[in-house]
Amino acid sequence: MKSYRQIVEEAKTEIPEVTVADVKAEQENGSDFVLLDVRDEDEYRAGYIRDAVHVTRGMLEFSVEDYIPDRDQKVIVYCAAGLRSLLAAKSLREMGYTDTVSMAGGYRDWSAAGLPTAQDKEMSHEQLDRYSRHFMLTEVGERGQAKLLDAKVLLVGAGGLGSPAGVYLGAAGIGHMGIIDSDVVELSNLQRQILHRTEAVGTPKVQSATTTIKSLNPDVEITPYNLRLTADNVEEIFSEYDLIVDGCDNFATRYLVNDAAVLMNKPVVHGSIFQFEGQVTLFKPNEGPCYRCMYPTPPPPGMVPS
Amino acid sequence: MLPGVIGVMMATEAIKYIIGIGEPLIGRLILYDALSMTYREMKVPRDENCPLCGKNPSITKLIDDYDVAAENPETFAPAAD
Repeated sequence: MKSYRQIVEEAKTEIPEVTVADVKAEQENGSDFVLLDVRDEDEYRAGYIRDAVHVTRGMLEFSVEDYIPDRDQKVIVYCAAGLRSLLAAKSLREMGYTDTVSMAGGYRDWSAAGLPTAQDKEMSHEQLDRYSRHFMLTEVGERGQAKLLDAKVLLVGAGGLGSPAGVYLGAAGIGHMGIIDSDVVELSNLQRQILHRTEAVGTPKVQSATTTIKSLNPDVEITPYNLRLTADNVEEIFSEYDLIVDGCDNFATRYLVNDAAVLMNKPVVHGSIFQFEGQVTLFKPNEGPCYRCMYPTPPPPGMVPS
Repeated sequence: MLPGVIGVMMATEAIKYIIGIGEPLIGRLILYDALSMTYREMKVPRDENCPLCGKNPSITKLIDDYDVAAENPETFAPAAD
């Protein structure tokens, strides 16, 4: 039977250790390595070394391959003080990683040396619970959730497309959502426009949408625009947002959204439907086509009901 | 039900874009047919002659009235020089 001390001593003979100053120097040289933080969630949350990949020691063997697929990639492992990282680096060697080292002194020495650290947006206990299923997705995680909570998205139209888009974006925790629509809720909307409830018939759609999304997720800050998007107001409104989600139902607005987005360099998620067919794409100015590349002009009036 | 499918795809693209994961639908158009329950992907290239985002754009500012223009499609694309 081995004692804890023996296990550590054994690991030290196999795993090279580097100091925090060595790691800092490697960062400055632009060397090719991955910095791997194996501490627990709450330790990581309190601060980490910028650009570090975070996989807890407990989950290391299960998910490290998702983050570091190349077994020959140089990996510098750190923990709080340098012991867990030593064992983690040893475990990585057993998995076939060829170049793993442990940072002696860990995050403790790094921050004591006054080296730069980073911290994600602090989430409340309720948020940690609400978004816990996002955290399980390695591609999202707490960092991805922080991006969603910081995002500003404008929903153009709170109708058939804007309803499901708004519900899911709100549930996912988009921090700030603008909703623009000049219509009031009608009974005939309710068969598909799931943002609106029977009792909202006769009230502005933006008001009904705000109530629904807020009750689903109070984290979402909503700016309702109970008006029609026009050439006169579009620039002022778009300037507040990082991304436009266009679920409008008419060509005039669709071309207006497209033109303003290209002129202002804003990405647009575009969707439209007709009867039983639908289409979706993402317009990113300078990187891909715009709506006019696909459809230079709208169809003659009367040809396609919008 | 169709708007639900498309609207949720839109939300998915928005979230992917914000987080910066996966393959965004830039230059790709997804066409979904509910009756046959099929979808296909079309590559959509940039048009270098696009009046708005092409090499020599003729539209360099917003049109005054998009409602009027939508009724008169020719006014949507000023003739290229």
